[in-house]
Order: sequence, then structure tokens, then C-alpha cells
Amino acid sequence: MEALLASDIFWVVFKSFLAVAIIFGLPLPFTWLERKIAGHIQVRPGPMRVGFHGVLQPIADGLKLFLKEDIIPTGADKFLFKAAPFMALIPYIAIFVAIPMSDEAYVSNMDIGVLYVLAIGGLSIYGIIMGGWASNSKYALLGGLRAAAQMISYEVAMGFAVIGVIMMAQSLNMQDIVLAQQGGFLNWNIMPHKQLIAFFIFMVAGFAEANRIPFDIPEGEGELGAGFHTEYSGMRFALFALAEYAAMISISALAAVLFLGGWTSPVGFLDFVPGIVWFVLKTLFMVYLFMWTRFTWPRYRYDQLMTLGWKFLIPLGVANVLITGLFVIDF
Amino acid sequence: MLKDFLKTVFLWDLVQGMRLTFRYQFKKVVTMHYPDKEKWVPYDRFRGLHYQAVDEEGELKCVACELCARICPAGVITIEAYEDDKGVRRPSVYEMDLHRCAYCGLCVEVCPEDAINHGAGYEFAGFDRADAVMSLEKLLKNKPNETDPEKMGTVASARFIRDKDGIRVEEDGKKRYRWW
Repeated sequence: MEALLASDIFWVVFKSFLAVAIIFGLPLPFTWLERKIAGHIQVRPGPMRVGFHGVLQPIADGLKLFLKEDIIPTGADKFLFKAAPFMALIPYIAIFVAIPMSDEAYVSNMDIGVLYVLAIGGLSIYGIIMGGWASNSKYALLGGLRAAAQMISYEVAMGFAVIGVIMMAQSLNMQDIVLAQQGGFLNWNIMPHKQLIAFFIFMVAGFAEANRIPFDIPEGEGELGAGFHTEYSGMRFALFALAEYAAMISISALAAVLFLGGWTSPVGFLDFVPGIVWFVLKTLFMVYLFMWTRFTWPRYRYDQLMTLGWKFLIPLGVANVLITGLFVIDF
Repeated sequence: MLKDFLKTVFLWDLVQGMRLTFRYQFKKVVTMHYPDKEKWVPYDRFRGLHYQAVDEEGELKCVACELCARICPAGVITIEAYEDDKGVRRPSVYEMDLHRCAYCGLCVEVCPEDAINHGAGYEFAGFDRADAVMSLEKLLKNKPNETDPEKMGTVASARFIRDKDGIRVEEDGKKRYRWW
């Protein structure tokens, strides 16, 4: 019992630190990548001047944000105002704990992995609502409320999408879900004879969860200043931005695990490539999809967002669950 | 009907947009890398930084008639005249405060001696407001050195230089292309 404790605790702590480091470290290169992709979509080069093709730009930006004054508005609820950015960021780090990067590289292999991820992922909305409420600003409050409404609508659709995947794998365990998709890309859940519709619903809901364009109405700079982070500056603003990127990474990783076969290789003869490489490639592809979409689509209007969520995605999700059930059932 | 419904549900219009932006990512970037690598060489007709012309003997063409100062809508030009040893009227002070200048070209048009002209210069940002006030000596130096019409209206490769003489962008003559 004692021997088990010492080494186990070490590994858990080590893996947790690694997960946190990944989530904190990735947004920096991703901001650069995003600006590069934005640039090339608009036929311009993007950041070019700080380092080779601007690779050091995020460090310069980070330094700038770090040195800026941290302003707390008068009339703000000081404790909530300070706590909100952390509240928005931490759940996404916690999500990363349950995502298997390969058959061995995971922090925790929970039997209820999918439930855990959905439950914890829903928590981060508290950070946004708290930030909006504590700012003592009408724009921030409206942004926070919009975020709450959006979360309620799309969490349901996302749940339905995930139910389809769970039915295919007959398990809530992430490893089992990946193993159920083994044996080439034809077995992945994204294929039309598996869960393509669920994938579509999951991604639309994922965009909404991550507050990214086209569903970034909580920020809605056109009508709400900057939405829930209107009053934030300096490092706390950077934490909100970090949370957005962490959300994007988590949802991309989740999509890779649930629909793109996680760490399994797409074709049999590529099995010698380590699983973590496939996982990273798939996650990167999903992240690219997020960025590509951001610079293509306009923002949805609030009522359009609600219409899409309640009138299309949720009925579609229910239908998908029913049809999946018909095929999965063992007569 | 069903087609329309499916198009709405699967966001078909947006998918078409994504196809377009994906293709755009591989197009050649149109940015001119000024001031790091490239520089714009203006056309002959470009109304840039003014210069004072001189005749064949190196004598100033300006006779300080003050027509340019009169016609200037912004009052950019200040002239003080004197009579030189040949009995010709010349400017002792000819100052242009380019902060106020709109580059309308009226001074150039009105000049009876073709003395004041538009050059090709557009790099006169400074650290001091006095930097944009052009004295007679500065105006004499501003004559453009590019006379080849083939080279006008092109993007030339250039270097960004920052040394004790100030900041400037110099053509290095390696490459030259028309941007369109």
C-alpha cells in the first residue's frame, strides 16, 4: 500500500503539471498560428517583424499584457472580479485530465470520462458570468447573460451528440470509445455510416461552448463593447484570452477522441507511428478548423443562434440518438 | 423544400464560404514589405515632397515672386526676398511648413519660372515638428534621383537602415517588379 502511494502520487502530480503546462503553453504558438492563418486568408502575411516570420510575436504581446495596469473598476465586486478569469480557465485544464493522448499517455482513465468532461466543461461558464456580473458594467453583464443562455442551449445539443458516440462504444470510458473506433479511418465515428451527424452537432455546439466565431455573441464587440471582458485589462484579460484558447484546444482534443478515432492510425500500415502523433495531428486539424472558420464566417445574430440551437440542432440530436439506437440494438 | 431544409441545417452557404477562404490561403500575398524589404518608387506625376529647381549654371530658378505663397490655400510657404549682385530678385528665406501642406500642387502650377516642383519623396517622418519645416537648403536636396520612366511605378527591393544619420529606407537594386 505504501509503495503504491509514493510512486502513484508522484506520477499523478507529474502528469497534472504536464497537463497544466500544455494548456498554458499552447495558446502562445496558437495565437501566432491564428494570426498567420487570418493573414493568409486575407492575402496578407500576418505578423512578420518579431523573429522569423513573426514567431516571437506572442511573446512580445504577452510581455505587453503582463506589464499593463490591472484596473479594477469602482463599484466592481472585487473578489468575484479577480476570481472570474481563473474560474474561466481552470475547468479547461481539468478537462484535459480526462482526455487520453495515447493508450498510455493520460492523466486519469476514468470510467465516466465523457460525463466528467461535459460536467466540468460546463463549469467554465461561471467564470464568464462572474466576470460579467462583477464588472458593474451593463455591457459586461449583457455579455455574461448571453453566455449563460448560449451555454444552456448548446450544452443540450452537445450532450445529445455525445450520447450517439456513447451508444456506439457502449461505454463512457474515453479509452473504450477510442478502442471502439480502432481499425482504420472507416471505423471512425466521423464516417457517414457511424456518427457524422453527431459530429456536426458536436462541432457546432463546440464552437458555441468555446465562444468562438460564429457564436461569439458573449463578446459581441459590435454591440457590447467587448462583452463580458469589457472592463478587464492586463493580465486578467490575458487569462480570459487564454481560457478561450484552452477551450478551443480542449474541444478539439475531445472531438479528436470522440469522432476522429483518438490515437488510432487512419490506415493499417501506418500503425508503427506512435499514437500520440496521431492524436496531436488530429487535434491540430480540429484547431485549424476553428481558426479557418473564424476568418470565414460572420457572427450569428442572437435570435439566429437560439433558432439554430433549439429548432435544428436539438431535434437533429434526438433523431440521431433514436436512429443510432435502432442500429445498435441487439435483436 | 427538403433540399432547402438540409441546406439550412448543414449551413451549406457557410461551407461554400469556407471553400473560398481555403483557396485564398494559397494565393500569393499582396503586401508590400515596406520598410523591411521593399519600397515603392512613385510615378513622375506623383505629388511628393517639393524641391527647388536650379538652371544649367546651378543658379536658383526662383525669383521670389511670392505667387506660390499667395495661392497656397494653407499658407504653407514663407518667402523673404532680396536683390542679388546681378540685380535679380532672389529668396533669402523660402520655408515650407509641410505639416499644413495638402499637396494640392497649386504652387507648382502657378510658378512662372518652374522653380518649385513636386518630387518623389514621401519619407519625411521626424522626431521633431521642425523636421517637417523645409528650408531652402533642404528643398534643394529633395530633387528625385530616379529619372528612368521604366523604373517609376515599381516596387524595388530595399533595406531598412537605422544609424547615426537617422532612419531611412534605401533601394538595394536587387529586384524590381510592378505590383499589379
